Amino acid sequence: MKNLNFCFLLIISLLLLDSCGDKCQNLITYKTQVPVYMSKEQLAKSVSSIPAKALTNTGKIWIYDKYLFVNELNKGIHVIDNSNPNFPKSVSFIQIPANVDLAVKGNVLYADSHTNLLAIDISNPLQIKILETIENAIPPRYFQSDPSKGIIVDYEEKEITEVVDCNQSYIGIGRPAIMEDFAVRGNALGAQSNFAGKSATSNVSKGGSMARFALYDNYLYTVNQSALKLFDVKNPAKPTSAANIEIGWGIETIFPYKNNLFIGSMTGMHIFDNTNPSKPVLLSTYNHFTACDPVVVEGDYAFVTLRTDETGANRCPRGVNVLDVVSIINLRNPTLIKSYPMKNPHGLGIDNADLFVCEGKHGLKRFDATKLEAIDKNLLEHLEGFDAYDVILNDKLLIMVGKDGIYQFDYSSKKELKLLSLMKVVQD
Amino acid sequence: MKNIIILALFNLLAFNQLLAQETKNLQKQKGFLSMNEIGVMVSNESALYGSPNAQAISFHSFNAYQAAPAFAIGLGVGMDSYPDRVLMPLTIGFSGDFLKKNITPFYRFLIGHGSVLTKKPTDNSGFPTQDIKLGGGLVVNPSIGLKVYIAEGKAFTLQLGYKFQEAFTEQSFRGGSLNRQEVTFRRLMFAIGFSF
Repeated sequence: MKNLNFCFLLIISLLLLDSCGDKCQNLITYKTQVPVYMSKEQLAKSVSSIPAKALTNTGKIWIYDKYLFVNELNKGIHVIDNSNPNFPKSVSFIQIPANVDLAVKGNVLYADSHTNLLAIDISNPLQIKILETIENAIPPRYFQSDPSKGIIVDYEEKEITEVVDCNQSYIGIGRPAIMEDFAVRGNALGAQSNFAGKSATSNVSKGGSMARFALYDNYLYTVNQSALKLFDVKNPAKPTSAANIEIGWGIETIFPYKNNLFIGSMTGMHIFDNTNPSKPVLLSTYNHFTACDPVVVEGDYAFVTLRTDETGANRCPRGVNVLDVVSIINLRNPTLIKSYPMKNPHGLGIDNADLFVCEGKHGLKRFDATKLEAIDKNLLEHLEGFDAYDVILNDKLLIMVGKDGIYQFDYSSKKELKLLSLMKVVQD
Repeated sequence: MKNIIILALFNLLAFNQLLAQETKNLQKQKGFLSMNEIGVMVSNESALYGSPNAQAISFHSFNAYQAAPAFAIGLGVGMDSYPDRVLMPLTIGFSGDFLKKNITPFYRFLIGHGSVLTKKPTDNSGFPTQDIKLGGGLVVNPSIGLKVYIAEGKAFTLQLGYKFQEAFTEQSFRGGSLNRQEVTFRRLMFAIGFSF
């Protein structure tokens, strides 16, 4: 019996000997952006309208008649009945994967979806109908690293945990490479302000100064990273490719004004003569520091905000934070009148020298821009405590997009902006 | 290493033969039992420290109620000093002598939780660290040994055991990244001590 005890202990001890040795592992946990894949067939089938849902990640805005169209980045477009700006009411949500830009003409919504341009009948926002799909109309926004998985329609944040042995070195807490997203920069980080397209109807149809889609006459103008692309929308339901004009790298926005197109790029502002809407002709380029730069125009002057990127994404390297006032009396030779320091200017809008500048997390500023050389001395109002990305001005109604949601102000009084409503963004 | 252990265990068998020659039994029969020892813990290899610089020193005290020479139940507390951290295991366990002799093999089994007393700063990541959290974990410590009674209820002990002990370090970085280092010490323990 005694010997049995010892034998038992001996066996146990020998087993334990085999499991001697410290173990060590590092669990590296980080949040990163991972691609969302979809097949081309899925992409086409996914376009549909569903009941209204909450705003979560607002993008570009377009107003048409009584409706407000708000892009939900890479997801689709909210349709909001804004006939009473005091009580805007969500009507429906149009699911469009990989959508960033939009424009509306009559009852037709033009929207991008990955590389496709869609024409959608929105006469009944709850029951939309795809009228036309032009494939490969727009360059892909994301680097398609693994085509076998489908196409990348979005990136979503995920928490990743990697297990690394303690003996192995771990380099970097990294993110996958994401193609520089010019399309998104325009609004997600940028700004919008009012431009009035020469609509075919008498209804108001406005997009933002940072929009990459613009309507003028019978043409839909789109800009991508390097080119201006025209689509003939004389028959709104059946857009056709019309022209492709190479401009240069870093194109961000398009802003039609009277017979000209003002195209913002990271390095400057290109001015096109658009007397013949089917053949815009480059007149001049106003160069500035490499920065993110929305542009608006009123009369003979262009207002350009240049900013650094405060998000840490380094999208606007070597940028400065200024408001440039540029004379375009001679469209072939734009000249700087004065540059005003700002905190982090994003979108802007101007209406009869009533100038509004979104200052990102520093709020919204309102200037009297009657005296172009003394704008800084005529700060009328500075609203703080919220994020201000972009604005659209329409008949004394200011629609501002911020991280918190969509603010609407009445700016008929020069003394004070009157808040009409706030549609709050709901976090995912 | 294995040969040494096998030899030690066979020596225990030899002591077993000597027990028959003992006369007066000095074993504690009942009551408070305190076993205190100092030991060294070694491992074949260490993913954390490399080898051979992986020894750790252990101090331990097991205080129990002895119901019979073959069974005592109680609590243990100790201090295990590894190269970069000191852990304090708090355990519950039982122990007992195998034989009713003055020289007798004994067993002990402890299980509990270890916590960190100190850890030397070893962050060489180069990243700005926001917060470092240290912690312990499960401790399992079975052992056998030899008791040599020298007086009524008092004995020297020689002990061979195995210690399984978990510990972790968590470093959080700006931007929400987290590095959790999980260490499982799996050590052979040699200890000498005194029980009363």
